[in-house]
Formats: sequence, structure tokens, C-alpha cells
Amino acid sequence: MNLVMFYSPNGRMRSGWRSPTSPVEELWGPDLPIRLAQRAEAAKFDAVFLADVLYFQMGGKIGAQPFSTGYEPFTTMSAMAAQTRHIGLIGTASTTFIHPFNMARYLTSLDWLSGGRAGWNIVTSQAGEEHYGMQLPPNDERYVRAEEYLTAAKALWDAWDDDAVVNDRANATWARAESIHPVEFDGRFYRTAGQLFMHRSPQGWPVIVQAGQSPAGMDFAARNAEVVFTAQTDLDVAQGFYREIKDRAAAAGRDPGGIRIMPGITPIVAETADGARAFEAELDQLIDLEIGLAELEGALQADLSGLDPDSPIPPGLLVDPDAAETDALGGSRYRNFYNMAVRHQLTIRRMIGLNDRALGHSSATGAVHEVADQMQEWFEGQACDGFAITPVTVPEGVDSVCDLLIPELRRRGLARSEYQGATLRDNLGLRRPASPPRIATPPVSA
Amino acid sequence: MERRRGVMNLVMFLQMTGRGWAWRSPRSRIEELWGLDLPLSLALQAERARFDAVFLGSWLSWEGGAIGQQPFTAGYEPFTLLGALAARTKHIGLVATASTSFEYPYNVARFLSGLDWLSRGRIGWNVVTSTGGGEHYGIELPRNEERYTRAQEYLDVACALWDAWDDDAVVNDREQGVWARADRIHPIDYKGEYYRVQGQLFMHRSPQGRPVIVQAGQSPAGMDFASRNAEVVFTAQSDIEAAKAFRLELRERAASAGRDPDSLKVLPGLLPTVGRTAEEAREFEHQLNLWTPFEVGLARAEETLQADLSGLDPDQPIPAERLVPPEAANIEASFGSRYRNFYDMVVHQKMSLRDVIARTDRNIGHNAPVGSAGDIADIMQEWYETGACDGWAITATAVPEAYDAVCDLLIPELQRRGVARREYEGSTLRDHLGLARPGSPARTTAATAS
Repeated sequence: MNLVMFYSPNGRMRSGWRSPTSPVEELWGPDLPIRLAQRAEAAKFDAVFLADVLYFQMGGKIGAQPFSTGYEPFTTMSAMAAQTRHIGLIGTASTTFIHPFNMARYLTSLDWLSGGRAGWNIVTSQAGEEHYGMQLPPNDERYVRAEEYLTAAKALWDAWDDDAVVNDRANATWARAESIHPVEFDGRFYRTAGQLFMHRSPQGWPVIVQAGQSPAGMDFAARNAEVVFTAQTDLDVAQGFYREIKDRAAAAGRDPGGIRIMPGITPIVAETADGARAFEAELDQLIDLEIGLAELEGALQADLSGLDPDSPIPPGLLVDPDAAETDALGGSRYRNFYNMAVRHQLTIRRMIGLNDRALGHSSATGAVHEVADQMQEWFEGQACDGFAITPVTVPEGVDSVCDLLIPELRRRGLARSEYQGATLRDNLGLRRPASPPRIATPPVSA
Repeated sequence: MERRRGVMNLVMFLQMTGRGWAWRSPRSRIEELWGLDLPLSLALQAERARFDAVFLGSWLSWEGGAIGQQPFTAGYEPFTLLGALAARTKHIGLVATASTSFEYPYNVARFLSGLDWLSRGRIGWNVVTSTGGGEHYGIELPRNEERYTRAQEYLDVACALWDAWDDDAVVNDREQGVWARADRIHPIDYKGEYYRVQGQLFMHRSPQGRPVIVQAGQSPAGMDFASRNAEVVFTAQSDIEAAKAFRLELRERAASAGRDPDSLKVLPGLLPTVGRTAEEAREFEHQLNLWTPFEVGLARAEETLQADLSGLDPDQPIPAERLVPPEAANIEASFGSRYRNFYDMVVHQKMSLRDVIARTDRNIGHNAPVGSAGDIADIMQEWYETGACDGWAITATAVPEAYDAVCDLLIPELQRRGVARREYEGSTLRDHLGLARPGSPARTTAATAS
């Protein structure tokens, strides 16, 4: 199965920084990202993944928690690249806040510096616009814009033929001009011209990753994504999503095998189930319930004040997922929370814990073999091609994943023992896009 | 006049395959572009030689000749490369060029703060406003004076963002569940003529407070900008008296702007060709000139000199009347702000056409002495000690040959004379340059995040 490790300085759990062993004093320095990337590489993950959002998390008091994505992704991944050799580096960057020429440039550079290990998680932001003095585009335009944006970026990545650079000292020619095809892109939303000043990178394009679960998002994923991250808590829902994406991809003329669907999972594993549950209970002690409740209210889009925290939520209080505003912040996970509350009848307290630790993704607490069983069941049951593992805390969550869970998966033949190829595409089993064939060279337009 | 004593500031410009046509050397490393090994080996070499910093230029226009004919000098993207270099170096400063014309101020402020954290306080920002490259973004670039007005706002936004978190905002109080005090986070609300920015970064104030601000434009608006904002100024000067006047003027302007003149370091560019002997150096320079194809060099010289140079004997001086006087030259043209230096080479130094071609090809108007380490150290020391500069920004004409010569011959000579450091003492770029760290601004009103 494909395995990606979610990078987070304090682990996935929002309150994890309060643990006495957390590295909260070293949040944005070089040691932590390098150390964790190297750990993930020693465990032979396909890639590390860096999220990015530009707003203080919903419901939280500003400053109460370290901001989970305070690092800058490109420079952090570059630092990781310099201290690793094989592991992929997938970073989140917003089409709303970076011009396509710059995006193409940053990603090409990262791909060169890392020897072909760059991946781009495409997001169209729904918050943070005040930092740029702009209005957010209308919601229903997001993916139309993203489609055009990606077309522009690909045009820039393809402007240099793969064989453009000849390094001919004798004839005083570095690259052949006829193999460089400056772009003329004049779209509805974006304009760019010319070409990058680096030639085509080792992977051709960075690996294209995407994570939206709205209908427009799924459509975009089916047409463009090579890796799809998703938040799934229920096996049947996950299987439905998997089938849907693969079918839509085939309908769009793509090989469904060229898309890797990877739900997030926050494992809490120990040698024994009791050990795992005890650790989970310890972690729950770190949660400030007032903040936790506010966060849960945001996730459920409901007012939970006055309810007994040790009881389930009265079902009438929650909007049916098919009617809910799935485009609201974090809205694509709404179904998962709804299912936790209504289908599984979890108590508020339990949901607060799950939300703090896994933010609407799968959480699996148990002995190593139990959690591995669950992952194997999903993988073999066509609910996914692998997982984005989000260690619950640093260092304990990272240690238990790398020292217990991954070796168990390896024993079952589900995780690699050695890297075989050199690039992220190799790690993921994805083909490299070749330079497009040239007949005439019409300018690329939207 | 009393001579300055002390250690000069030295910055190494990274041009990975040398200048001009030096990439044609059999030893050049063009096959390694754009990987990490090449710039990393050069940065580590500069660190062993105890340079204050390495510097990366960045521009988005081809430099003349057919597209792709030469490996692009500024092909490396600075933010990502510096992130990688930060992870593999320990002491040396890392200065990135970033334009105010092509990226949002929020993004640049974020990149630089992130890099300052990743490097533990070794980052500088060379602020440029760009004379070309707008087509990549589908925009027209504003004219020179407007560019600097915008750049001032841009820098003001960045500084406001860097200062939004008080230095003591983060308290890491696990017990109480308080990571940072909300009353010490001050979201900005900047409303300018060109930029509107609200909010703050999501990482707290970095080790240096703000990156070191570097600037390099010599136009009137550029000098004005520098005197108000720059902590390091790169400049092209080929004459010691002009350099003294330039530095004096900048310092006076800085003082008028309320700054301590010593908080502004002036570093002229130097393109030395160093040999174990002067003869060896001249032989290498001759080799460098041979790598330039004549016709290609001529076209570039014509562009740089804004003149018709056809029909001239290559080994004779260029007739002065072929050139317009500096006051009439177009400063918007490529490297237009350095026109005076080239004019000087033609009219006062009476260089031959072939030599001017080699100069315009490689050195864009900087000081380009050829000689032994002692010869060149003499020049560097004279300028420093008589107040013509605070140090130098060095570019190696060829990599590895000239780069090695600078690090292995020139720097040790300067160290021997006591004018270059033998060991790093501080840990940040500000420490190396002798610049104060800007503290969090005092707060009068209590605009806070809570």
C-alpha cells in the first residue's frame, strides 16, 4: 500500500503540545522537520506531507494552541530535501494566493533540488484572503479557476522539451532554442507568458495531489489528481468514494490505476490494546474541554451548549449530510462527524477527543495487529490504495508508528523494506509525463 | 586621514557556472544545474573561508543572445535553495533576492520569516523592483520612480508583519494551556496606495526579528530607498573616489533619515581574477576572454553600451563619440543604472573593443582587478581603510577555477593582514555584519488579536 506521513511539529492532536515531551519549543527551527523527515525515510514512507491553512483554527482562542501550519511549506520541504535522499515531499500551496508562474517555479525548483521528489497538494483557499487585500472568488468558481491554473502550470512545466539542454561547450550552446517553447497563456482568470528559467525537472511535473470532497472537488480530482487525500471514517463510505473517483477517472479517459486514494488515519498503537487505550486516555487529559467543545461545534455546525458531555447528541440537532453546507470550512468532513454522532452514537466527550486527535479522519486505537488489521481490511476491501498516517503526537505518536505499526505492515507484505526507484513517482508507482510531442508549436491558451 | 582598522564584511555572490562564457571551461559544472550539490558545495566552501554570507541574484529575463544559449545565471529559485542551504550550513549568512513586483508581500514576508527560523537567524533579503519579466505574470511593470514608491510600501508591509508578534508572545505554558499570549499578537491593518494587508504571520517573530535588508539600485530613487531602509548596499563602483563619495552620501542621507550611519554597510562588487602570480592571473583572464564568441559578445556590448559598435577594430579603443554621455543614457535599459561605469571604461580607461566585450560580458561594470592575491588585497584593503567601502561583494569569474582562487588564495591573504575573519564569532547574519537586531516595536495603543 502507499503510505504518506503527515508532518506536524506537535503531531496531529491539537492539544498534543501540552504533553511534557512535546517539542513545542522548537516549532519552526530546522531540527524538527529534518528529524521527522529522516524518521519517515528510515521507515520507508513514500512521502511526507505538509498541510497549510491561513486562519486560526475554528473555535480556538488565538494563541491557546500553536498554529498547526505555522511553518512555510516550500522552504521547510527544501530543508527536508537537503537532509534526505528518497522520501517524497508533498506540500500544500494555494492557487488563490500564489501566481501560477511562481507556483510552477517553486515546485520545479523543489523537484530539482530534491532529485525528483516534489508533490503539490492543490488547494483553493476559503479563508486567509485578508492577508492579500483580495476578495475570495465566488465559491462555485473555485474549481473552474483551479482547472485553468493547472493548465497554465503544466504549460510552463512542458515549455522545455526533455532533451532541450545539450551542454555543448565546444559549440557554445547550453540548450537548443528550438526545444524551448515559450508559452502564451491568456485565460479567463490567469495570464502568463514565456517559460521558466530552469529546464524540465526530473519528474516532468510534480506529483499532483488533491483533497476536496465536494462534487466539484471530486470532479477535479478525477480529471487531474494523481494522489487523492480524503477524510473517511466509515468503511462503506470510503469504498463508495473510492469507486466513484476511479469510475469518474475512467470516464475522463484516465487509467484509474494512475490515481492513489489515501484516507487519513491517526493510529494510537501499542503492544497491547490496553496500552493503547491507556495512552489515549492520557492524551485526552491534555484537552481543554471548553476549546474542544467549541471546535466540535464548528465541525458539527451545531450549538451543543447545555448538553451532557457523557451522552450522545440528540439526533434532531444535526443537519442531514446531504443538506449540509459541505463547502463551509472543513465541511467535507461533516459526514464523518454526523456518522460519529448519529450512526455510532458516540458521546460528546468522545467526539471531542476524536476531533482533537484526528480532525474528522479515521482514528484507530488498539494493539498493533488490530490497527494493522483495520488498515489491511480497508486496503484489500478497495476502500483505499494506502493511507496518510498522521502521528497523534511527537515523539510518541511518530515512534509508535515507525517502530511498531510500519514494521507490522512490512511483515504482512503491505509496506516496502527498501526504496526501489529514485523519485516520488517511483515511490508511488506513477508514470512520468513526457514532454508533449511537437508538430507545429501553437501557443498554449486556456 | 586616519585609516580604519578592523575586519571587512565579505559576501560571496553565487553564480554557479561563473560569469559569461566561463561555463565553457572543461571544469565547469553545467551538467549539475539545478541540483543541490553544486550550490551547496560552493556555500560550504564560502563558509570554510568565513564569508559573512552567500548571495543569490534573481531576475526573470534572458540575458541576451538566443534563448537558452547560455545556462541562465539566475536560474536557481532563491527561497527553495536557501531552505536547502540552511539545512546543510551552520554559520554563513544566506541572502535571497526577491522582487517586489512579482510576489505578494505577505508571501515574501512569510518565506523570509520561515527561512530565518530554518537557518537560526542567517537570512537577508535583497530587495529589487525589477526592470523586466512582467510578461510572466501578465502585468506591465511600473516606471522606475513608481517602482520604489511601491517597494517602500511593500517593505513597510513586510516589516509590519515581522513585528506583529512581540518577541515575548510565545510562553509555552503547557499547564495553563496557553501557547502564546493573545495580547502580544497584533494583527496588522495596512492600508496603502498599492497594498492592503490585514492579519499576521502564523509563526512568531524569528531569531533576527527581521531579515537583514539588502539593496542594490543606484538610481536616485534607489539611493533614496537604500538610505531609508537598507542595512547592506551592493553597488557597482570602479573608481575609489567615486566610491568614497557614494558611501559618504548614503551615510549622510541615512543620518538625515534618523539612522545611525554605521547601520548601513556599503559593499562594492568585485570580480577578481586571482593567481598565485600576476602573470598567472593574466593568463587565466586571457583564457576567459577566449571562451567568449566574438559576435555574441559584440551584440551584448552594444546593448549594454546603448551604442552601435559595428565596423571597429577589436584591438583598438572605442571612439568616445559612439557613446551617449551618462546623463543622456536610458536608465530603464538592462543594467542602465551602471551605464556610468561602462562609459568610464570606454572614455577614460580607453579599453579596447575586445576588452570591453569581455567586461560587458562578465562584469556589468564592477571592479575587475587581475593580479596576485597580494595585488588584489592591496586594492580591497585600500578601499576599506580609506572609507570607500565597508567590505566587498565578490563574484568569481569562473567556477571552480576562480572560485577556488578566491577562497584558497585571496581570503587567506586578507586573513593574514587581519582584515578578514578567521573564525565566526556570532551566530546570526546580523552578528557577522555587525548590525543590531531590531526589537519588537513599543506599543502605545493595544490593538491585539484577542
